[in-house]
Amino acid sequence: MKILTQNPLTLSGIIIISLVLFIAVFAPWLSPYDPNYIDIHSILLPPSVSHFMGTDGLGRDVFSRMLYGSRISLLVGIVAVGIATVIGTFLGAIAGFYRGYIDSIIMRFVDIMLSIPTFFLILAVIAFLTPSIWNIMIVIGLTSWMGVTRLVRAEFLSLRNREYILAAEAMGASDYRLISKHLLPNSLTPIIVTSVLGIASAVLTESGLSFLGLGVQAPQSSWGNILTDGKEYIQFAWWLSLFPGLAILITVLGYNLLGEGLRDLLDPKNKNQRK
Amino acid sequence: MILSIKGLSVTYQSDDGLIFAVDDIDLSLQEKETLAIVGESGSGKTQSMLSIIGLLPENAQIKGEAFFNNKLLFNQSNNHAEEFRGNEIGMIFQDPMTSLNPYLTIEEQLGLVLKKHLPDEDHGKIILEALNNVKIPDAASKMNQYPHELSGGMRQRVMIASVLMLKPKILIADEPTTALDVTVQAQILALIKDLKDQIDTSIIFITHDLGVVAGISDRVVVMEKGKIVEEGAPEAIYHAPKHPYTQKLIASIPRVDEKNLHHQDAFPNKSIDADNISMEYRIKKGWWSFDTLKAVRNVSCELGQGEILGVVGESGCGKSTLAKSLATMIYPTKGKLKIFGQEANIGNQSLKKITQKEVQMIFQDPVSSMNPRMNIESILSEPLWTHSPNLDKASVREKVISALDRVGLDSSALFRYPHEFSGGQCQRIVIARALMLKPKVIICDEPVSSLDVSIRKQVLELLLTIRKEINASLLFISHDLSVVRQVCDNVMVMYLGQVVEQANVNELFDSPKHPYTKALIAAVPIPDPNIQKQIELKLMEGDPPSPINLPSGCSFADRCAFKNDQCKSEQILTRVDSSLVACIRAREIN
Ligand SMILES: Nc1ncnc2c1ncn2[C@@H]1O[C@H](COP(=O)(O)OP(=O)(O)O)[C@@H](O)[C@H]1O
Ligand code: SF4
Ligand SMILES: [Mg+2]
Repeated sequence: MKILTQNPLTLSGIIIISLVLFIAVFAPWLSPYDPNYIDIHSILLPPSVSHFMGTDGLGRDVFSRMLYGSRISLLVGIVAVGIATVIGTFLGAIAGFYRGYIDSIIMRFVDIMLSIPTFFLILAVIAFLTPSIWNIMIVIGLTSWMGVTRLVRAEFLSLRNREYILAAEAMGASDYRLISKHLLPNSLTPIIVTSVLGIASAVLTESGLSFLGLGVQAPQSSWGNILTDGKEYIQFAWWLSLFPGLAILITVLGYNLLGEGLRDLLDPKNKNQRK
Repeated sequence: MILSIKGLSVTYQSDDGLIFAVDDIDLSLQEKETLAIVGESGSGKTQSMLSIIGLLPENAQIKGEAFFNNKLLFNQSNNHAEEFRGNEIGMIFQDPMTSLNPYLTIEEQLGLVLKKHLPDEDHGKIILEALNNVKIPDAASKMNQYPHELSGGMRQRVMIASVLMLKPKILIADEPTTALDVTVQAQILALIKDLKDQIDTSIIFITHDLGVVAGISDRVVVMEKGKIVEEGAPEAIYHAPKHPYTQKLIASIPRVDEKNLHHQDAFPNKSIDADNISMEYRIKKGWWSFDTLKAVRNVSCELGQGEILGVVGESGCGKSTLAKSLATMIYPTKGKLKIFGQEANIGNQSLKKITQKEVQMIFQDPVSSMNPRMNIESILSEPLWTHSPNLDKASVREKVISALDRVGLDSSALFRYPHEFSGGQCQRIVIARALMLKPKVIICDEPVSSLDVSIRKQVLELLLTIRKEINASLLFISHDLSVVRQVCDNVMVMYLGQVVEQANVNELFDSPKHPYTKALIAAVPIPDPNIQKQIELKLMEGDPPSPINLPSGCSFADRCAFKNDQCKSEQILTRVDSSLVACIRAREIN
């Protein structure tokens, strides 16, 4: 942890993510207004002391909506990546452990999935389902596990011939035990790194979908749909686009910085630098 | 005096304070001298040499000063070492593969070096001459090959050539033969011996193996924990060492030329009986086609209860494959393998259950044979998980502690992790793990090769004690013939997947009968300068052929000094005196 905070970039990543976490958890206490309270007397007010980030076309307080929106982006990031990591790790572990035909089949499937542009795949699926935050998370999760699969498989293949794996195998450890006690724990660090980086892209995808109206539905607020609302008023209500845009940018940056920092930290090649 | 180092210290800042990698050493080198620096891993050999070519990592702090030909290399305030690197002082390392760029041909690699130092000369000509000087056969065609297409010995020659083509005044060789097989090591040593006489270069030869430098050094420096503890002529160091550390080092080297006095001959009860077994790997060639690699061919052997059977041979000759089959990790593709009286094949899963308990393996690198994320208690209790899942925690711990105790460690080790232990301690822990189930057979695949000489001896003694205590059989795989001689009862020599000679240990080493065994034993350097300097090495040239396209007839034929027309037929083991030998001319040539 000490080393993690030594790099100023990584440190800023940690600060950003902690801030988002804090805001998401304490949104009800931090927000000055009910995020869904429509006040037709204060439509499209610019930022002021009473409304830090102004109000939107229905007179709702943008600051409060932003705070609540952070919950969505955090939830989507974590759940979607959680789903992707579980699927990816499972398939990658099986491919890397059993090799042979099973491996070939799984990896061809990965290739096929990768050859379809993810965003369009998501759009296509969402078009059939009712857009809701849960559907969004599941669909993002189901379409972004391929990277993890490849990674875990490669990791397993290289670990598979390590002597401690051979030793455990020679002593009769079951496949389940080999995977769960020996191979997975030793592949954990790269999995964590990709997951953190994956959260960043999940956040982006959710914003994109909400922006297109296929994501989180009103009146629930998300950074993506605040942006959408802002689209109509972009000429005279800049605050509706600027704040959610900035929030998305900074959060994605935060996850990326943290992910990169973790990768550097965990990469044995950087050991000397750290001394 | 071409090099003089005064009061050199190299230190690193760590969490526990300053670490002295090199601690106040003085060293000098005369023109045309070959200086050997000997010491165990971590004694500061490499660090002290890296300092004089300016390749120490940035966080190293240097104290002291060094001069090259009275010109300043570095002192407290200036560091010019880099200006001398390459053209005046060259260095080669243990593993040539890591020093060569895998994407460049040999000519391109060496060309890059020349471009920096001699931009205006005819590079092709210099490179070819350099490769010829290090006796690379067919140098012109090797120039266009990539590093991975060359054998380890050839790569090391290329490295030597790349340094020598700039005609430096000093060549530093850091463990240049440690990663090589004995036969190849002998070739490189002979090359260095030749070069010594032909060129004006002084050589600093770094090694942990006193045997290697006995024949080639003019002076020996012994290092321990960053300090020079003894320095002198090789005769003095080897025959009358003064410092206790040197004495310990010399005493711990096993000798290939000394009889094994505690070996046994007869082992009435058989644990393992292999009858003509072969093992093949399928190597993917294209999309649909395979090459067949015959890793083990028609091997017959017996392992008696309580016997230590040595298996020797160059890397890739099938030793590890044979070992894996005895642990039923793979099955023979031909022949009959009986383990504890049962036939081993994929169908016989009950035997597999038995071998998982009764046949344990110990690998070369103890650190990597333990899961880095488990503590010692979990590592040692691993076999119990599978084989006695009903044991309660207290009795598991009891068993773990008694296993640790047997290998000379105490319960303070329980909650520590593998990286907190030294190599020797790690190998003890691995041995303790193998003992958890009281196995009948222990397969040791190069168990001491990665350990320092002094620790090696302790680990070997531990193995011998254990074999006595539980009357286990040991299959002892090693490319280090001196160790095999001092440890084993019987020995088999493998070449290209076949057993070429099999005999009891003293018979095999005192009167080797197969030409390959002869060459192998002759290649082992003897840690005695009087003997080693006199031996005119009868070198075995070349490398073994690829096990994919095996030559017909005797597989040793293209390296054999005794080959004639009789050798065109396949060779099988036949009895000559008390040895089994796979050579049709064995009777004639002995
Ligand atoms: N899993 C494998 N797949 C293909 N070839 C292998 C495999 N393991 C070993 N080999 C090949 O089999 C031969 C014998 O290998 P090995 O038994 O490891 O030799 P040794 O232990 O004597 O060094 C070598 O040519 C090696 O490259
Ligand atoms: S059979 Fe011929 S080639 Fe083979 S080892 Fe004997 S003498 Fe040499
Ligand atoms: Mg081996």
